[in-house]
Amino acid sequence: MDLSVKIGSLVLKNPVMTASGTFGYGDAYAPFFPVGRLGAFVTKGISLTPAPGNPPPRIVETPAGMLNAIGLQNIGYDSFVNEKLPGLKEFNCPVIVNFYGNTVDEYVKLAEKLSGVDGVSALEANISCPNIKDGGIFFGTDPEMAGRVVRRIRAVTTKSLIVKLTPNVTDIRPIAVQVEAAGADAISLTNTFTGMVVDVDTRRPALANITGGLSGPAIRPLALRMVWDTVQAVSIPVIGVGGILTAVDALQFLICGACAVQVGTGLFVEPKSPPAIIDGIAEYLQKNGLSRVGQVIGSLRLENGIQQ
Amino acid sequence: MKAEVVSAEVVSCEELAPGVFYIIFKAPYLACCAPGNFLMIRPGDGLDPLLRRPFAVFTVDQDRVGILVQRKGRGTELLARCRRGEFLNILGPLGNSFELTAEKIPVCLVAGGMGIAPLFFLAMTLKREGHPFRLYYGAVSQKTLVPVTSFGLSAEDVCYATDDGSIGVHGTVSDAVQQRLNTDMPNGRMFASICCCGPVPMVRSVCQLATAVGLPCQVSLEERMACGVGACLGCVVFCGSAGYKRVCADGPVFDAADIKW
Repeated sequence: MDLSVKIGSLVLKNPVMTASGTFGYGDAYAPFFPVGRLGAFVTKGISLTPAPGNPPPRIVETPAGMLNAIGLQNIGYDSFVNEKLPGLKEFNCPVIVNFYGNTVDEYVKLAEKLSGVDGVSALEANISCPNIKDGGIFFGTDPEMAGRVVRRIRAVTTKSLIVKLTPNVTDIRPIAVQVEAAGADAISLTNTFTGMVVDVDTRRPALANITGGLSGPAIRPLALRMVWDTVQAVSIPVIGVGGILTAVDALQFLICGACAVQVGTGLFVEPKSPPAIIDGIAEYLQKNGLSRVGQVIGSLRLENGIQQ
Repeated sequence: MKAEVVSAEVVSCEELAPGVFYIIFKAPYLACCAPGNFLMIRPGDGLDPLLRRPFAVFTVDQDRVGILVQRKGRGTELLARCRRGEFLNILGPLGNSFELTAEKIPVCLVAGGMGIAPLFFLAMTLKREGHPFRLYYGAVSQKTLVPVTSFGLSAEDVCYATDDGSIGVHGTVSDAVQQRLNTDMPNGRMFASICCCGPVPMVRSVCQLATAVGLPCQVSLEERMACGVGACLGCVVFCGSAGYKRVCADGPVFDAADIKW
């Protein structure tokens, strides 16, 4: 059974990764399953300097989901490289470092620094952040700005570069197209959908930040549809994220054309969901008389017979 | 102890006070936990409610572990309905635990409302080890109290405080503790430290009291949680220059001096 997939120059033993912000710096779920079983894991988003994050309350449950307004709290580049990265090598699993910036220059500087460090298998650029130099417009919501930041990052790194897109857009396709044209090796989507909850007893927002990002099973059909849209718009590998908890969930994304998936909120529900998903995909291949996961990727059957 | 995901058979689910349920389940793996540790329990098999709910360990008796569940929202509503023979999906033990000194100088335990859960476990542990303590337990009224003297504590171990004066001191539990410390101080310190848990205004007041009299104080905090294992950074508490700390992984027991209310 060949579950391997290729993303840029990165070869993963299987298509299952953990999503940024749900696995800490690689250590959080180590007690529950051998991290080395994962196709890869993605670190918490790193910024140049440490970020404190938002005041609590930072999370609130919603129907089949949750909102988070963590505020990208992280220890910053220096502490990450000195304190966390060395320990991650022992997991025998590709380490994808997620990173972000408040300006294009910050993205570039960080990408450059991360590219010179041992133990980083690939980079995932989180472009769902506001560009504070450009009136706070989110990088990932504007095709031109998305292309611009990716082009500048691409120029300073030869590492496999995944770009993670925000779904809070009118049409993801032009953004995906610009990101591909700018040189990304792969696209991961979706990040969280902006949402809100009000406590009617106090008449206050449930989150200190007022709004937050929705994740979990509630967003799966939304994320899946956007992955489908994106797969048709670009030729580079697409990584599907959004409400994946089981192998059946993951297979929906693979069948639509995603070459890999990320599990995030699903980990909170079942810490052992990633290995269960990997095993479930293998069982599915077996049951369907297939030997390679590549045979399932993009195998969506449409009435007029169009496939990827 | 390394956390694990276990399937635990429910032994009993009994309402001890209005809306407060005592659920006991068989979980030999979890029985080695320490006072202050908590468990993250799935409210059901489905995807909604999605997240596990955190509960401090209340009792441990051989392979039987018990928790207190207060019916507040959809998750606790479901859990409160569990029956003998059903199974709960539990992640634990999680978090740190109360630290105690080797010298057996009396500890002052202060519990408000549902804060009784971890402090009762602590009290029983101290009792078993012959470590003197006094438990100050406050609630709205006598009928909302969990009957702790039915579960192993004796009447002399506990000092009650009720908002309506139906039993014990008529006032808040922090008032009761303040009174005690005031009468103690002229004769020298009776307590070596304070351990508290309860609603935020109560713990804040007890922590301030502890600082005022110079007593070390540990507080077990509560915060909305998603992962419970320190990964998501959702459950943080503000610790001033130390930044935001995770209640699930850096706590739930904190040195009161570290918390910036």
